[in-house]
Amino acid sequence: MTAASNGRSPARTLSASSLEAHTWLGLAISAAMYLICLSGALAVFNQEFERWEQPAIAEESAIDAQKAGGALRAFVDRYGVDTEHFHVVFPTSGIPRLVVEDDHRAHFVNQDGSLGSEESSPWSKMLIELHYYLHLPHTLGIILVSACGAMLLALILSGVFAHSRIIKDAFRLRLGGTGAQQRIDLHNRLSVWGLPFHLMISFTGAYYGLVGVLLVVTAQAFYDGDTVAVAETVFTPEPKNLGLMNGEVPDIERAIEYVVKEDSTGKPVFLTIHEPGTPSEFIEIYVQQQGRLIYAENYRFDGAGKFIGTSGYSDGEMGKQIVYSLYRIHFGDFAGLATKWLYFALGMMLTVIAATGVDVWLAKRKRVTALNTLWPAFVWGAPIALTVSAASTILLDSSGAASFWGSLVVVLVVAGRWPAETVAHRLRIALAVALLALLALHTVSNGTHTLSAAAWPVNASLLLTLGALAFWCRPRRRNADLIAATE
Amino acid sequence: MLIGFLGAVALCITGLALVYRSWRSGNRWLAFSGWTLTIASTFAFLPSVGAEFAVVYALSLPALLVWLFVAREASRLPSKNVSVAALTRVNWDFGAALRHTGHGAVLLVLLSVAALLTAVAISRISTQSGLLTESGAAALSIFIFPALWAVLMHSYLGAQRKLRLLVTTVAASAGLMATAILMAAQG
Repeated sequence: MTAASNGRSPARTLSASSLEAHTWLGLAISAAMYLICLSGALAVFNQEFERWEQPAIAEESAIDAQKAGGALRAFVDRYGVDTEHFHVVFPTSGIPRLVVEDDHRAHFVNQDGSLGSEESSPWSKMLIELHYYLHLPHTLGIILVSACGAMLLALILSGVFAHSRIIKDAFRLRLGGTGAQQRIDLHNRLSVWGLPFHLMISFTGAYYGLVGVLLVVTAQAFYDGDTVAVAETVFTPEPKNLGLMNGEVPDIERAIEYVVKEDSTGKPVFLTIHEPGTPSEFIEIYVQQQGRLIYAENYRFDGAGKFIGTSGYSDGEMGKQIVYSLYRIHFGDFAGLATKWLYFALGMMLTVIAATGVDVWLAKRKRVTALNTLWPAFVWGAPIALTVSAASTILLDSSGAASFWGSLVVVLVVAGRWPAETVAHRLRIALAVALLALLALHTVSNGTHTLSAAAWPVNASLLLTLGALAFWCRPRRRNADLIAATE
Repeated sequence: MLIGFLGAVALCITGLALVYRSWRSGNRWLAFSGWTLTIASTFAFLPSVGAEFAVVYALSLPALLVWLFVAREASRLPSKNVSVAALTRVNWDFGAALRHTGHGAVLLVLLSVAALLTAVAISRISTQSGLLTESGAAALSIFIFPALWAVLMHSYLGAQRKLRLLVTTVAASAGLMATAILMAAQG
């Protein structure tokens, strides 16, 4: 029996079945998707958050090869060569600080070239771990998060087919009423107009976890299980047998000076010494290229600082360039602060889509269950938990993950007892209070540095968010009526 | 550079304004002109930021700029008190829970494996037949895998005859993979 003879048009059938698929997928991954989107939107400013966590560190903007070399030697003198990598992060990396590190620890470099305090940005790291892995074991976490990227693609597809009034409603936004139509319009307008961005984010987000699976299957089927051989079809192989094996720290000054001279328009991000003290030792400097989305062009040198060649990411095969561009396309880490704000705004829009999608489903149900309370508690509890975890890292120097999940559970338990209609309003007030406490704590902990160039942009943004929340939560007749009615 | 960038943004806004006017008036020519200008803004970004950034901006900015017009169109529905329904207990239907878990397993395991094998096979066949380089094929498989998985998830969840779709999908992906392995074996 055809759809038409069944009394249903094919378009209606496609729309209805797509809506079914959209609802199933949306509900299945709503909570994970919300956390991934929220943490991802915030992670756009990860470099700014890192500076904010240690605002007292001296900052500089220029690359000084001699200073970097001296700092690396001081680092090796202190900690030895028991590591597989040394890194020197340049002040042109996006964080205007010189850092030397190995696989275990990182130190800032003082103005005089001596080793400064140890790098410690537990909250920023917690935020990144939440976005990459949802705080799960890394292999499982990254595969699940990437699977959410593929599911986001399926949501986009089913959403487009389900939306039968996609043109008719293209600019419509009906506010007020019971709030149900407002949520539907907000969900649909943000989704439809943000579609190209959402496609970009879902494809590039799916890459990180799924590429490992692709690699393993390709290697097993066609390369006798050799995953390195598969990876080397895209990523330039590492040079072999260049290590000097003379017990000396490689000559990074010479390498840095070469890059600064030969690639004057490029922006060196960091330098890595691979497998120091072994025959496989070599120096690699990652240099971002003007106007290019590739992460960097990599300049390679032997232990004596002699140039070997580049990795060919800027002028190599197209496939290689595309793969090496995915990181910056996903994180908006190009073209400065304006692009970061654009990505943040669009990322927050995706977060709102994730939140309102479930709101729409809840509003369409004919009954009210504990979910009606728990979902808004989760939506507003997550930013509260992020704020509490930031405060806890200042107070306790902890990782932040435990306080994030702990405070989220507390919010869910406490708000779970409140009437569903009041949860969002009350938690917005709680978020404002938490932000105020965080600002106060940062000021008390860092004194005048809280107004330094490293800290004021984040603090001003927190203050603006606080203002927006206060405006949103201002006493209004409707809020008062609502709370009175439910109490 | 800044003037060029702002000019491209202005062009994008103008394009969206025309699309908005066409949406209000139903004029197709306005819609055509609007979309043409919006797409043309990609080229307007070129001199100031280069080709690669231009594409990203042209794809992303309309999502933000369109709110100038959505906000203009916003209307306010008459205020209604939210009717506070009584809280009901969640009824656990174990049959339904089992069915949903089964669908989840199919989506996450069976369909992902089918999409994975198809992506690997297509990538391999395109290299073997000289259509793409090794890195080009790798890049292609990175895009095909999630896209195909998404299409399969959407089709499976919306399908009336789920089993038939599953059997067809698994058979097709296994067939493609076998072809790729045979082609590789023949060199």
